Amino acid sequence: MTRAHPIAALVLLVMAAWFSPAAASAHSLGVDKAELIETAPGAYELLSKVPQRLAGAITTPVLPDRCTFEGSPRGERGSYQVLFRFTCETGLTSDDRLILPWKRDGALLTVHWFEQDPLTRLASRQGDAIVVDLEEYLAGSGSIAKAATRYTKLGFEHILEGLDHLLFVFALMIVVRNGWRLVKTITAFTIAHSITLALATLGYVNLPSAPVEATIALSIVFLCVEIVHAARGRISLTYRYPWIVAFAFGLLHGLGFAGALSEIGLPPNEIPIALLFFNIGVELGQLAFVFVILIALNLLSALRFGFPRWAELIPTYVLGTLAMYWTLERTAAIAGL
Amino acid sequence: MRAAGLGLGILVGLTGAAQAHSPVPGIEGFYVGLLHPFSSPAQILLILGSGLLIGGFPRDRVRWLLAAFLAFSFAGLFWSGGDVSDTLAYIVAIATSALAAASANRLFPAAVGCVAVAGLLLGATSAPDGGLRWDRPVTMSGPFAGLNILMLYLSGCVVVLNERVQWAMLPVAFRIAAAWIAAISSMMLAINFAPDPSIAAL
Repeated sequence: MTRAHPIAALVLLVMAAWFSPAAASAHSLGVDKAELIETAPGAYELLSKVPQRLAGAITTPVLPDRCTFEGSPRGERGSYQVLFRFTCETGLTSDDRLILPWKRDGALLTVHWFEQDPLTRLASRQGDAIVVDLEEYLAGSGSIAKAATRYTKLGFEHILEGLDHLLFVFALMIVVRNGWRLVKTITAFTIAHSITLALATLGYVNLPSAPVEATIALSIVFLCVEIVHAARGRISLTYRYPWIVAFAFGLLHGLGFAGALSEIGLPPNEIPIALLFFNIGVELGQLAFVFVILIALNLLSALRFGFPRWAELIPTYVLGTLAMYWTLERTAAIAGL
Repeated sequence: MRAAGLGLGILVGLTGAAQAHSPVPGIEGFYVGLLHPFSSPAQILLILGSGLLIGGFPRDRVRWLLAAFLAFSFAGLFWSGGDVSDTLAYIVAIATSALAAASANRLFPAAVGCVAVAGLLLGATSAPDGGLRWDRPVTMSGPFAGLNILMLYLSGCVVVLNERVQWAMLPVAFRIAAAWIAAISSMMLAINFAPDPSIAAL
């Protein structure tokens, strides 16, 4: 019995250490869910979803100067959330930032702008606080120059990351090798995707993205088949009037661009700026791609790289196989496979 | 026909697993990889030296040199000993640019060797670390495309300028540029061997 006491004390000590708040504090760094909700124009709720034991880490956020807390700046503390309410003289814009001096690694923040779809991004810790740059959540609504830069960058990035759009342009470049015809064909593609991008963003056209994405992949397959047919001497409409094909499929690609644009969260009053500069970004990306390829092709030609006839079709077959894979993948996704 | 149908079925089945990915998994890595060959001075000097060396040859030989670079940079991406020391890269950069500066057209086999080793080293230093199984090929194609497009641009520009610009000093200018690259590479190599306190004094 006398021996049992020290052992029992040790066990109790270990258990106490295990379940004590000190043990919990060892896990206090991490990422939690948070929400910023615009309940009405200029009225906001910032909600941190943390368990009660971590609520102490959620301290008063630093708001822009024109904003004031409604109720306690310490927030309303519930069993699984801490809620801050505040209002701003004018609504938050992309020029604003919220500084959250929370003792957490970051916040997976979902922003619900008034009457808009929610948008979720990870806001990471920078030094002593989590910094929420609202530019990341709302491209427009700040200065016009800032919105223009942001949307141009978004368009540029989207076309470069959307390899399917670029590969369609590349297939068009295989079909059309003549300088002026290429300019006309690429212009037709540009006009077409600008039309549907505008129609979809303004809400006149609303197609589900999955079939659109599958058909975009199929458009590359179509061009590859036409290239192979032409190599066998079967010249079709695509070769005679490539701009018609570029225009027709460009309409589809525009719907694909619209999906990317809607993801960023568009304030209704800035849709024209968003449309214009997103499209400019897409064009810049497209032109950069065309120039890189054209320069490379011209240099290969200047160095008189002679390829056998069969080898000239290799890029087309590679392109076609990849596009067919995407078509099947995206079709399978529609069917829920 | 039945085989085609079966193949289609298998392909659809296989693609189902990948549907959750973005349009092209690893595409961000592709663009990062595209710029990867510019990430260290050794790589940049090696690229510049090789470009000037390749471009200094007549165009019928340029094709072979570019083909050698393409093949060896591809092999370099898979080279298991991909942890290439800067010392080795600088030594090859010196050899390559010195050959270009000497305009040693008669030493074509030596040029092929230099370009091949440069391609191998550049491929090895540009290979991505780790990565997901499906993303890795896309990511690896970034540095491969970046390296070879860049080499085509560099050497192609030198060839085209040499042929189209009727200025007697142009080839000399290219040779001087190559000599500068050799000199800079030598200096970097020396710094590499220098004891730490003397580098701190710089």
